[in-house]
Amino acid sequence: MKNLVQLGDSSCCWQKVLNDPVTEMKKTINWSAVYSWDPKYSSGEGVACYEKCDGYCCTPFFGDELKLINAEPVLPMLESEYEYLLSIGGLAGVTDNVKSEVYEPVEGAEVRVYYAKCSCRGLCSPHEFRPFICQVYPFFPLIDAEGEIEGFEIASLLDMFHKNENPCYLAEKKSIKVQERVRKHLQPLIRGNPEMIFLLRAVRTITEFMKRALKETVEIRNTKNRRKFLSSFERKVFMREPWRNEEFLKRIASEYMNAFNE
Amino acid sequence: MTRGECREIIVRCIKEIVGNDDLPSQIEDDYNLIKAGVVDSLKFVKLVLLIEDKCGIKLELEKLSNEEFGTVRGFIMLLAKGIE
Repeated sequence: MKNLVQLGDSSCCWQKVLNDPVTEMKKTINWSAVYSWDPKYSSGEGVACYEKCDGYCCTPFFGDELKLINAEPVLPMLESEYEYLLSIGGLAGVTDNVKSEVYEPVEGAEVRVYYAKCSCRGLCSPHEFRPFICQVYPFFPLIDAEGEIEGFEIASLLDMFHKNENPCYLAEKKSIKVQERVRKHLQPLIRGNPEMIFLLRAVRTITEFMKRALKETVEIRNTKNRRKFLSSFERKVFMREPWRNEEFLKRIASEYMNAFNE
Repeated sequence: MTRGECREIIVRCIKEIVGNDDLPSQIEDDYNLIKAGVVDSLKFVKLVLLIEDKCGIKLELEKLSNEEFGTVRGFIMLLAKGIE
C-alpha cells in the first residue's frame, strides 16, 4: 500500500538528504550497537522470567481464538534490521519466513518493512540476535520529536488493552528495572539518529491510533469478554482500520520529515 | 441488482486481486479467501476497496459473523444490502 501524501516543495529537500552519502550513513540505525546487549531477565527468584509466565511473549497470544490474524507471532522490522540479521547469518525460524511491504510516507521516500513469522516459540538461536521488537519487550520506548525517551508504552499491540493483569511477569513486577535498562542502552543510540527516531515515533503513532480505534480493555481471564474483545481487535488490525485515514498518513509524513529533514 | 449480478462483480474483483492461478476453477459461495490463504491482510483490504470503488458503496464488514467474514457469501450479502 503506497501511502502518498503531497508535501509540495518540502519533498525536494528530502530528496537531497536521501542522495547525500554522508547523511545516508548517519541516518541508518547502527544495528550492531543495538544488538550489542542481551537483556536476559531474571525473575529475581532464581528462575528466568519466562518460567513465570510459560513464555507468554514468544507464544501465540490466544492463537486458537484468533480467526483472521496470524496465530504465530509476526515480528516487524525495518529493511536495515532485516539486512543486518542476514549479514550475521540470519536467525533460523525468523528470517527465513518473511514478507515485506513498502510504504511511502512522503512522495519519493520508500520505507520497506519486513514481517517475519516467528516459529521459534522462544527458542530462537542465538537468542541475543532476536529482533529489536523482542529485545525491548515488554516495553516500548516513547520518544519526543528530538529522540529523548519520555516514557514507555506496554508492548505489544494486544498487551496495551489488558484491563487488570498483564501475563508478562516483567511488565507486572519489574517494570521500573526493565525500563531503566532499556533507557540506558537505547537512549544514546536514538539521539541524533533519524532512522531510529522515525521508527520509534512511527510506532508511537501506530499505537496511539490503535488505542483511539479500540477503546475497550479486556479481562483476559474472562473467556466471554476476551473472545468478544479479540474478535473486535483482530478485525480492526486485519482491516488496518485505525491507520486507513488521512490524519494517520499526515502524522506519519510529518514524523518522517521531522526525523530526516534537519 | 440481482444476487447473481452481485456475485459476478464479487468474483470478478476477487480474480483481479488474487489472480486466477491461486483460485479454484469454481468459486463456491462458502469459499473463504482468508482460510484458503489466498489473501493476506493487505490483499483483503485492497479487495474491499476495489468492490467499494466499483459499486460506489461502503461495505459494512462489522455486520458479518466470524463464519461469514472472508467468504464470497459474506461479500454478496454486504453488496446486496449496500445497494438496496
